[in-house]
Amino acid sequence: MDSTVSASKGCFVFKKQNSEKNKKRKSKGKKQLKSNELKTELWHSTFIDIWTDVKSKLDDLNESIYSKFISESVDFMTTTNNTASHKNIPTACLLTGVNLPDHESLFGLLASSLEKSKPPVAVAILFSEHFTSVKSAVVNMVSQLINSKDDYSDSDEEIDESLNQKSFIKRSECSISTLIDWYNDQPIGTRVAILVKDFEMCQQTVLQNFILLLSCYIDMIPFVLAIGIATSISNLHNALPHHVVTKLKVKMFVSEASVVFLNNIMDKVFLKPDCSFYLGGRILEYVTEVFLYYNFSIKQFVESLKFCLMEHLYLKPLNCICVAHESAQGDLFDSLDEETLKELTKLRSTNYKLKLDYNLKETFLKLIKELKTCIEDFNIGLRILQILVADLPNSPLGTQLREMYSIGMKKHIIDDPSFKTCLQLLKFLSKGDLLTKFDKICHILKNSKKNKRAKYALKLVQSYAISIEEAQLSNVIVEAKTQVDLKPLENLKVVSRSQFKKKLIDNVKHEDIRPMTEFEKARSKTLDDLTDVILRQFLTPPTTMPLHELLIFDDLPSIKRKIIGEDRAAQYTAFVNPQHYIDCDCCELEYTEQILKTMPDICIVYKLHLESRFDQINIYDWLQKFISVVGSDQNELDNDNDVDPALQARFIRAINELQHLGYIRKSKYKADHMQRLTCGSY
Amino acid sequence: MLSNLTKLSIIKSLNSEFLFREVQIDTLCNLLIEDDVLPPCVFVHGLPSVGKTSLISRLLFYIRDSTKTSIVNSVCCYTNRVLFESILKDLLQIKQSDLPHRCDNFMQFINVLKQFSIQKERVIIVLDKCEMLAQELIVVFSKLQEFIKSHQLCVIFVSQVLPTKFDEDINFIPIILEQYNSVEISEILLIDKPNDWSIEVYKNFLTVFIGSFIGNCRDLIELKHLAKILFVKYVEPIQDGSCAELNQNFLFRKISPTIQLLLNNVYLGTSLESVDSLSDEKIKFEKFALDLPYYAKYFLIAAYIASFNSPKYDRKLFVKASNKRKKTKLPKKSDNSISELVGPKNFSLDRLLAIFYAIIEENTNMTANLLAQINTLADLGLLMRFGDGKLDTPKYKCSVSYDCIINIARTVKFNIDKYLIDQ
Repeated sequence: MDSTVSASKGCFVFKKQNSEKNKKRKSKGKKQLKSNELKTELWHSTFIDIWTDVKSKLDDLNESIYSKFISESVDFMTTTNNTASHKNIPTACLLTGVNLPDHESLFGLLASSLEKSKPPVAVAILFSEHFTSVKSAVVNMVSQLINSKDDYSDSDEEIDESLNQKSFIKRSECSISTLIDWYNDQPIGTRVAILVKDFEMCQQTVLQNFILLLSCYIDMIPFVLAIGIATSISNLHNALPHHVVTKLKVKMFVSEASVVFLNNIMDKVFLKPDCSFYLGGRILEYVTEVFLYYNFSIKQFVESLKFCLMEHLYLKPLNCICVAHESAQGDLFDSLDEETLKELTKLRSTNYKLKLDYNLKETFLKLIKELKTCIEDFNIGLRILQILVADLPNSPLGTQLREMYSIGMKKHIIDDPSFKTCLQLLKFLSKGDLLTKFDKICHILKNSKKNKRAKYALKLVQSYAISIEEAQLSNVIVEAKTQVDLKPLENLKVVSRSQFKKKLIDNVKHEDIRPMTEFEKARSKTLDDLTDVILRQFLTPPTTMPLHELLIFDDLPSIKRKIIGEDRAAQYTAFVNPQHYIDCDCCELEYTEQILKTMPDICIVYKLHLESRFDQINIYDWLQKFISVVGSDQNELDNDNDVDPALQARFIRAINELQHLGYIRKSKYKADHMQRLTCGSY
Repeated sequence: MLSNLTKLSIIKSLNSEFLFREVQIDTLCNLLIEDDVLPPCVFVHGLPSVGKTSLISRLLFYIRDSTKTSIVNSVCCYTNRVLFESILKDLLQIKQSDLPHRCDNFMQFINVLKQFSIQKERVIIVLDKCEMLAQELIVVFSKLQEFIKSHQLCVIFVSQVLPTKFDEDINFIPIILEQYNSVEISEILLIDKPNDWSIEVYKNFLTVFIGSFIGNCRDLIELKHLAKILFVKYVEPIQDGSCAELNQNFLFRKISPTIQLLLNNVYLGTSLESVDSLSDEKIKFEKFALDLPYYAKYFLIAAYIASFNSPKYDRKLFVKASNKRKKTKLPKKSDNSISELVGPKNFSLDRLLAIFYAIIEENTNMTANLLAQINTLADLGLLMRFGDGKLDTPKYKCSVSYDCIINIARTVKFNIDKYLIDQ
């Protein structure tokens, strides 16, 4: 076992875990969880309510986005007829993108829709772990296919298990011949679909032989293959030799890019007024950054939002009350204790105006209501803004709703410099473009009829649209004096270069005051009105309202470390300042380099090894240093050669721990030296 | 008892089915369709798709009444047990459940054979693709006749691998099937002529077809497949009525772009419907391949730089404070530089991280997700991982091409040429 070679020689026992024991342990664990079930606390029930709502929306969305991809590939896999003369296996190459964590759900979806299709299809999903040898691949495939129908019954109840075991075929007996016997009992026309999830990670030779093996039996069982490829199709051709590829009849299917999912999830689930979980701008920016910069994984994205929600509600009754239904809010508020009410008065956003008096409940509920309408308006405003600016050249405010959302949450978007450039660009739009935009805005406003402000805005926008439509393109409003134009053109001949430049700029300025047409005037007027009257009201950032902390989650520092772990940083703190984690009184540091006797051994050893100037460290010297720190004072008087075996053992143990963490290793050049693997100190 | 007449008729019908194989058919038939003694071991060798397996199985089909036969594809036999039991099932004509006991090793196999007194019958066992079997198994199978003590048992090995590559211990009668030459191929392809076209048109087509493809591909199955696709395209102008049937030049001009396209896609399992969309799909997929997360792109770029630059230039390239960089002129990368021809070199994780932080503009903490990116890249096959990756510091190699990295660098607006040095 390579993994257990260490500085001290020893022997390690690896006990094989009995599968039956395991099962028992698992079932026990389940029961314990059930008995220990979380008491129906307010935060928990609220969390479950909100999350199930979000989850169901996400699932719907997931299916609708994948639907084309899935239905196409299912179509291919169920309808292609393998002509007997060619003996090809119909193969769907699913180009699924590099977001590896998401593939599992995609293949699950594919499998379930294959099972529903007609003629019936039996499905087995193989992962790269199964391709350690052809045997294990075959055994897994066959056992999945044959035992598939018992699956859902035996997972529920223990009583059923004994019954099922009879029909359950042992893994050792799973071979192709049993599969053939099984297949002959299936309804005629059944296909056998085999989904290989991660092509790149499979052992290529095993996969090749597996494909060859399948092709041998294609006469007897109509196999269909689906291979998930994360990078590109050329990878398939590079990896499989000719005699394997000729056994396949390949067709490619490309799934949507995962960024499309992100945008859809944001637009249709989280950034909608009916979602009762509101994200702050910074959080949203952070999680999308994690998505775009790190892994493209929707699954992780959703999980981290789930975590945010949990963090937002956990043991915070005020937050829960805010999302509760209006009728219940009053009662819930009455049940609060004094402590939380005090907290309420300390919120920064209220400017400390709330006092602990009998009016508190009323003002609180009123403020929350106002906040909610503000958020609603904000969402409408964002959608209007998106229509206006999304297709502008260079997209100064971004094209996606989420981008505008995170800007708008932080400060008033109208005051943002990029909005001004947007406005300038908008003033160059043609009549047709502008009218279609207004049309779309009207549509949005009509859809949100409940909102009072929207009604009013709708009227305004309609009047704008009419005024633009009526404005004539060619009618020049005669205001500017045409005589001025001619003058500077004559004076173009000048002596110096700077003067020439100046003149040119002047000329440009003069051109600017060229007469505006009626349409142009109407255009700039309506756009200015639109921003000042409608957008400014609608886009008031909810974060400027009182009590916004209770409804909008924007506590980035508290979740940052939890969403993306910084393992190295955490290890470093643990070594250098163990008090940070163990919270003892004895290890308080005055300066970072300080080494205290009371620290854990590994910390002392770590700090000592940082003091070494070279990457080769003599173990004996190290030990001496260690003893000088840890050992009692009497030891120093004794003969240096006598090392307390207890201390030595502690030291060796600490060194081993350090080695297992990957900080040091045995030196290749000197027998009694260790090599440091990290660089730099403190 | 087989009379000479039936033997002759078998030879005749085999010859009509398999062209240009007279000699081999003759030897095989003489060996196998003889009355008293069968040779212990025959080795049939030939390159892919020259008709080894189909010839043997056809021959065995003809003599199935007098001889017990078993044809086993070694690819399907991933364990010895599967191999033995499938042979037994064929020879004894029984079901899996009727086998007396498990048959895990060779002794058990022989015992079962003896138990069913196989010595009294003529038996031929064919081991197709025998290079997949273990060396010992091949040796023992070649001596099966001795073990069973029967002169009427023959094992035929079929393989693409030269018989001399196997252990010299085996005494076998070699039968070599040569590859067809272009004339023979055109003769064979002519058999597949679609019914509704005259032989003239198809012959013309075949001269064009074989002329352009014979250099790339001699695989008969692949050629048949390609001919099928191409012929449909070839006759399109004739069906339109825009061309006379025998206007070869015109037809060739029409078909040559498709030929060019197909030539690049030989062996890719191209299907008929995708021929037209092949070229633009390819471009699309190359783009798709570059769809990596932002940091992953930078990691890949850093890995490429680490793989193709020698570490001694790192200081000059990446230490921003040093002024030496401007003074000493670094040799710039040219096309087909030596380092590129030599291939990527190993680099350690530390070096990769150092270069990554040197080229990336933003300030990023070294988080778990960031480090996971490296493993993801390795899993995707874009980086190659060396070493056990546990206690020893792992080493990596970058396995993407220059063109690919240039495209990736372009998407993040990074000038990679600036950092590549020709040694």
